[in-house]
Amino acid sequence: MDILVHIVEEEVLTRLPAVVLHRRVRAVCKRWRDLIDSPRFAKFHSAHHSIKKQSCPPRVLGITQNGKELYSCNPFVAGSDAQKDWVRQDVYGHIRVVKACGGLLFGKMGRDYVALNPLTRALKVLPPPPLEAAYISPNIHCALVLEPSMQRYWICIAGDIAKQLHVYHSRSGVWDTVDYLPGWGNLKYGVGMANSNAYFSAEHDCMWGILSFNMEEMRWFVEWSSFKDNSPIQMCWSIYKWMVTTANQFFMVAMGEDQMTLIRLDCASNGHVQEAGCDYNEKRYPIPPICFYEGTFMIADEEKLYFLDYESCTFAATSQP
Amino acid sequence: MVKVTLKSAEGDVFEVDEELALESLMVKNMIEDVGLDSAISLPNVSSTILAKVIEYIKFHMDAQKDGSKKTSEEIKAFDDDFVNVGIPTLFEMVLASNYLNVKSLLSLTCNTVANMIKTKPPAEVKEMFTSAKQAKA
Repeated sequence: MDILVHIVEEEVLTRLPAVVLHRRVRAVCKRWRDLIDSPRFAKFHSAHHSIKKQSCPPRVLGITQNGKELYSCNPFVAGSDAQKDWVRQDVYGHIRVVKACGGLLFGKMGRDYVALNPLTRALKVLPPPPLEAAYISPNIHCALVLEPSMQRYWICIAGDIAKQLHVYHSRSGVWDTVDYLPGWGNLKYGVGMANSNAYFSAEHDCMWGILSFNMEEMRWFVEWSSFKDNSPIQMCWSIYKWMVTTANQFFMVAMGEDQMTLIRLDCASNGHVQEAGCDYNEKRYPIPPICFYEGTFMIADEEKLYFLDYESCTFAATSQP
Repeated sequence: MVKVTLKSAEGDVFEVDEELALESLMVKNMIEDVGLDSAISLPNVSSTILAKVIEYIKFHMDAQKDGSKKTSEEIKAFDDDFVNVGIPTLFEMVLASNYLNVKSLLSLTCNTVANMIKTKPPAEVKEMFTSAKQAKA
């Protein structure tokens, strides 16, 4: 029996998705609860799930029209739009979603900021952030960050006037304030990842770069930086269409005359590496891309969604619901 | 074709091709250590379970051979049918595939258990394991 318990713990539980572990398996017995909560298991579990590339891509929660509508779909199913199975998530009609990370959403409900989990339908109203009144605008630059075991989250909002980052921690329940990295400013387009890091694009005199802020160590780091006119492609005028992958790689999308090019920001050399391109002559203005799951990016414009896999350089498009 | 003799917990004897027996890393190590002359005894595996494990390995070996006409659907149907057994038998197969070190069968059976845990409420999962414990004790 002991052997069976051991096999089940090592082989079976690591196969289960984190959601099932935390919602169901944790409740089975004390031994499993302690096991799932242990850092060793969390590490083991995440290693198991990151090595194996999912054979069946997950359903995806999509946000459209300034975060007013939430849809879920399976964008990787080949075929017509009907087969991609767009389903509107009506429950959240009154919440404007600002950021999403690892299945958790951060948004605005009326004047309040809320964090919500679409799976458990848990919703938490956050205390108001210590921002200047003028800053509570629709375009706050923020990031939702998860720790690797996904048990705690942070929300940070960039306050550019005072050059301070406001950080909310789910465990302490209060807002903290941290100064920017000296010299850097104009922090925008925050992206949070499930590795305790928040990433922002930022400017420093005639340079731009990508900064990361580690929530656990409360430490800034310059991931990538370059002179603004160093870009190899003419249309690469803006850093704001950038993204970060789970493997801590940075990419940006450059719009050419009739094509869209994926450029990797090489952290070792601080250079630009051209990775993949695809035809694009819709003459619309795409919004910043999102890293979906390992290796796949989603780029949306007003009418269509584009999916780009940088490993295989495959490209797919679908119209929005 | 060289044959290998396997002896189950009850003492029943199974004669199988060497190629098939080598799929179990545990048997493979035993053959390397003691050679093919004597029967390999597997005191932790009952006859019924050993027969099932042999059936599984045989099917998959045939399916992998060149000229096999089995489609992936047929293989999947076989796998689904294979693990469509009672929980006690399934647990015994988990233990046997772990003991015999047959990776593909271990992953099939563990995935089946994982799916059960995924769909059952916590109380039923607990029940599933306590009853297995009582049956063993």
